[in-house]
Amino acid sequence: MKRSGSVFVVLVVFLSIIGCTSTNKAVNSTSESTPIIDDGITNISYKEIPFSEIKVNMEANKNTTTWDGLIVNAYVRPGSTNMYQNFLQISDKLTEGFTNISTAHDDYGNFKYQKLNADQFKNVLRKIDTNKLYKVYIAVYQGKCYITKVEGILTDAEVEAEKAAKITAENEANKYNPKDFAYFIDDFKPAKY
Amino acid sequence: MTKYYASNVVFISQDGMDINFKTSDNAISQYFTIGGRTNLKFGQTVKIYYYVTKNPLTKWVIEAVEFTKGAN
Repeated sequence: MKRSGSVFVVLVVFLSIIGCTSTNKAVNSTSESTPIIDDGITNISYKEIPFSEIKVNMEANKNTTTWDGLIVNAYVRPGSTNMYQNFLQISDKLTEGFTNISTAHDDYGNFKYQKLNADQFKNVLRKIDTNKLYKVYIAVYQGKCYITKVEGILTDAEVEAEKAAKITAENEANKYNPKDFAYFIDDFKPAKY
Repeated sequence: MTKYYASNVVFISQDGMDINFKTSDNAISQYFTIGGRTNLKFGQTVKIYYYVTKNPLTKWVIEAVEFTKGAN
């Protein structure tokens, strides 16, 4: 009787150990099903580097599964676009040496450019001043770069103000006194000549 | 291809939509097409705003004629 009692205790302990192990397994499998990419990109810590060191940093990240964050000073202009990705071109020079970098972190239309969809991305392009040096945030994963943020893009109000200033300057340049003319066409614009 | 210019010239004559100007040194004279009357007088110095286009023949078209300040 005493022996069968101790066998029972051993059995209970054994079963409870198995139970704990299988519960842990279930928890692990749930966390594994969460895409690592999406988890990582939101928690990247960025470091400021010279533009010329992007390539070195990409190479260093190539065989890892961690996200690195780089900040470079660069001129920005619109890049190419395909069905899944929108690109920005960046360079440390105003007119040359531009590199095409995607703003999506994969090939399936999952845009991570400040969480902008394709239409919003086009709206961002409208605000880029190609003569201005921006702080460009680049996420690097397995040696591939993705632009996640361009700091200092004009606000909607600034874009509108710039547009209004351009129109005012254009109107000013095309101002003329009809009395000074012997003849002029209806939409005469002196600044054109 | 259309190019736009502005030049100081001297008025010679106008006959309907054809108007003739020359340079002040008499080196070049050129007929232009114009869309209205100018009432300019022979020898009057003016600034013309015009374009030249090839489509396929070359056309010289006046878009404005400005009185030259201080001249005439």
